[in-house]
Amino acid sequence: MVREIVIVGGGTAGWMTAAALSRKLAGTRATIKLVESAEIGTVGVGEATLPQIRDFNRMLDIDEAELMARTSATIKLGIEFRDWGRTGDQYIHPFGVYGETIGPAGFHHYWIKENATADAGDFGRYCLAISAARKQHFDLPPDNPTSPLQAYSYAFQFDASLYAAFLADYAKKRGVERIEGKVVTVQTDGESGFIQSVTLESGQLIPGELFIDCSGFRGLLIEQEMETGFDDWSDYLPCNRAFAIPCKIVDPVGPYTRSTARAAGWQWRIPLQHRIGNGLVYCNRYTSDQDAVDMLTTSLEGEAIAEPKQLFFKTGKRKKLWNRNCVAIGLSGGFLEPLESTSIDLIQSGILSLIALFPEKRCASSDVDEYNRLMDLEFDRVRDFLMLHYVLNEREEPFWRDMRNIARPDSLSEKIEAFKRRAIVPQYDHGLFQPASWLSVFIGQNLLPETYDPRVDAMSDDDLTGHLARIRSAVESNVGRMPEHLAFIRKYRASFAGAQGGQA
Amino acid sequence: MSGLERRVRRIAIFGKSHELWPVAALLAKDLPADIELIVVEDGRPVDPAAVTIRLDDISLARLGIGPDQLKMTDSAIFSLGVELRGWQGDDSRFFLTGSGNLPPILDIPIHQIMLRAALAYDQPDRFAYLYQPFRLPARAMEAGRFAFQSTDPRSPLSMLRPTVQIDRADYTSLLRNSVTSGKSEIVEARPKAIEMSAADQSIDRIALDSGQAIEADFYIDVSGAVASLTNGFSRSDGHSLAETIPFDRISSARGSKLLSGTERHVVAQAFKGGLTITTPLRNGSIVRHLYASSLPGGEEERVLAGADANVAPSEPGFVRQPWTGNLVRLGGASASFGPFLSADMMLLQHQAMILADHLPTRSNMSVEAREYNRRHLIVAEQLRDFVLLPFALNRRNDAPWCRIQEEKMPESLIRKIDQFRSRGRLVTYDGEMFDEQSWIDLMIGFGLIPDRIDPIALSLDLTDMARRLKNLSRAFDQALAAMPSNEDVEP
Repeated sequence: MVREIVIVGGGTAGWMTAAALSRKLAGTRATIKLVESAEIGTVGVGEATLPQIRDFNRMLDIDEAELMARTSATIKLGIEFRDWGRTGDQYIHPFGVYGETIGPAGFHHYWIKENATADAGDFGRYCLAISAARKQHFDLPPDNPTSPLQAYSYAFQFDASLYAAFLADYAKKRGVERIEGKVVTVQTDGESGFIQSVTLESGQLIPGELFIDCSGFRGLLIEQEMETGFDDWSDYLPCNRAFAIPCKIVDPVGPYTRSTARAAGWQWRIPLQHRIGNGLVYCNRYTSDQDAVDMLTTSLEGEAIAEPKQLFFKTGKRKKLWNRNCVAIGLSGGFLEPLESTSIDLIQSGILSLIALFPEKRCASSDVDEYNRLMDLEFDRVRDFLMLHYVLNEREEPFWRDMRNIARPDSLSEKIEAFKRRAIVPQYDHGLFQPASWLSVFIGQNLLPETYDPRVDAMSDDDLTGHLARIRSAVESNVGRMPEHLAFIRKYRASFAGAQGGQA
Repeated sequence: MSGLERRVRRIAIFGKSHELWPVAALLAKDLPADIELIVVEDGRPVDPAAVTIRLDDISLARLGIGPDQLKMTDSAIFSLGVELRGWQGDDSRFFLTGSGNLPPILDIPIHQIMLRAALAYDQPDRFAYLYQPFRLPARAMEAGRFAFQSTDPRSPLSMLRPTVQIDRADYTSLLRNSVTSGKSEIVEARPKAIEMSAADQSIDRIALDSGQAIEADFYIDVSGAVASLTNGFSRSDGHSLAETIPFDRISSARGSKLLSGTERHVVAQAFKGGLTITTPLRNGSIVRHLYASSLPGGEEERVLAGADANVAPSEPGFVRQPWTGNLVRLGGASASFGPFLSADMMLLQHQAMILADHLPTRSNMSVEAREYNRRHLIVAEQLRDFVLLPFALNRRNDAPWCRIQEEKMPESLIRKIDQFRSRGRLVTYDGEMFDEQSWIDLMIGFGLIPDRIDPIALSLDLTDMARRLKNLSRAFDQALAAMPSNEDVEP
């Protein structure tokens, strides 16, 4: 097997990779070196995460409360979308399901029927995660929920740079060697094209058998050296710039991230324990940098605590995320805008797939092909889901009008048509976003189906109304028993202890 | 809703009884009163056959049919799987079962740990032997034991995935009787002619051989009689498996007596030139032979099939677009995988569920058709791959078995085999129908030894591992010892 692993680049991707490999390869004779330069800043993608991050942390045997205290984490039960349909609209994409089984058809079919003829109430009232988020309540989900109404998950909103630092400590304790320096040249084997070593500015040569490129957008190894190629998805997701700025907290923060549509993009709001992360993602063809930064800075809810930082990006992915003996993880592999907090999750997917397909020295093509197949599937499905938010908008600004009519993959067009005509929801096993996610956006952005499953009509109107009322009541009752979000953090002993707090 | 689009108010389903009722019963159960279901049943006798159905099959649950109802029939026997006999040489036996996932140890699958142990002692051939103690359902089956699946996830019995073997005539009756009277109109007849709409190539009406005519908004053809009356619904989009499975004849006969007490499961016996599938039932058995007509001579064929056997051609394959216009084809009208692993019934039950979930609401049903076709294709390809796997890995040296070993398999199956052969990793796709453990068991049992250990398994401390494995196998041993014999469970 591969014995010498070199990770080029620190940051979230580099240290997540280092931590995971140090854990999973413990006991083998593999050595892991991570090269990073303090002079090169990290983008610090993704302060908000998805529930899968908890699986990653569990794999590393990380104590959740300690992690939260070290990274200033708050709980996340979903993402609130404001003004994405029409101005004034709002909905939450939750980490939980809607309703429960009340007949042979999916729950949403029953709600659709009731909603067409009577007051079924907001769809979100049938989801525990949404109701809890709106009331700013949270408690740990039961281990063995007795009803789908108790089934939900959660993620974290944390400081990504603190998370990287936390994992750096973790990885270094498990033998990962951090090497300070800038990579200036890359040596490859003339015949196989495999990377043999990288050389640092200091002249130090670092040999390896497997190289993991976590160098960010530039793709130092995967692109600059190996010329793998890039699938540019700007035609599908044209936003290409962002400003980010933190501000002070004014009011108690809730357990959810917020995304608000703006004239030529959208603005994020991610509450941590000690500050709120804000940012504006936009397309420079529709607004100027100055207008974008003005929009962001004038809409902060608290006093800014840093200067705005500008980011440039291009959505898309490498044609191969694994090429010969180089695997691109994180921004070097691809970037999809942070609308659904997928950046860290795509890093995690890359790491888990690499572990599942961890190679021998020659990197068998069957392993490489399988890795690329899995990651392509993941990126494609995330792309479709992100696009859905844009194409269903009902706003009038030029950017949004164009987004409604943007060329879209057939895979997405078919999903939208299937829901619009017959309330059919996408369902697949391999991919991040499950039916509840699609339902959130479809219904939240006012795409109500023309018809529903005919089997719904076998239930009497009175029974249907009764079932829905019972579910709404059960959700409200469950939420009422939960503590407040910030009280939970204190009780969980997860209060932020400062950037160095809690370190061993 | 567009005024030009008619609502679907009448659904007509056509087919032979055994294929018709698994679909019709499911639809009749849940359709609202304002949608009429017309069942056009071809009640002519069909070849004797048995079907094997998992007790956790979702359509059984939807119909409220459980072990108690099945026990009331004359033929039902519960089992844990099927024995593949002679596939790896004349004396070989392999017990293929459904199974829950084996709990990994420190995130490492048990087969990877056993592979490491086998390779550590330079004895790769002992891999399957070392792995065998952890195959609780297969061991129970081999020992003639039986238990229903435990709902307690901590119990070893939660690994079990029992099946019922039942005469398909009994199963048909059970389903037919589950339909509440008045929920559907039943007509005994066969389709004779079709009138198509000139405007959109949909079916307007179907004339029956009884002189009656059926007009409906949506037509379901489960046995192929409707599709055969049209030019547009041929198997032109078909995917044939005839090259891969060269058995082009199938015979069916009723056996007279039960096998011995410990052999109450289905046996799929490979022999030179074909495959015999014997399904024991409480009141006899059903024997089906699949064979290549080019191999046995006339007399030999009669001896093989039996003098009273019904012989029919076998053409394995499936269509890719079974729903066109306002006609959907299910069951034998859309695919044929044969009786091995009761694949045809499994396909039909899955198709019925997919159809029930995607019933059309209006005359323009292209969206439902597209989704149904997509899901049908997933099911058909999953079935194809799982059925093909033991054929691909067979180790017989006689015809046509040895030739099958050289046949090119579908890409999706090749990927599965290659990944497992390379590193013991199971590739999974969307909509997997079969248990992951069954795939792994089958590959190991059929002699696939991964070339290398997953590197992550190298991190394990084998000394500590031995203790954990011992605890697990001891729990399985105790569960096995406490299981009643198969005979004790039968009514």
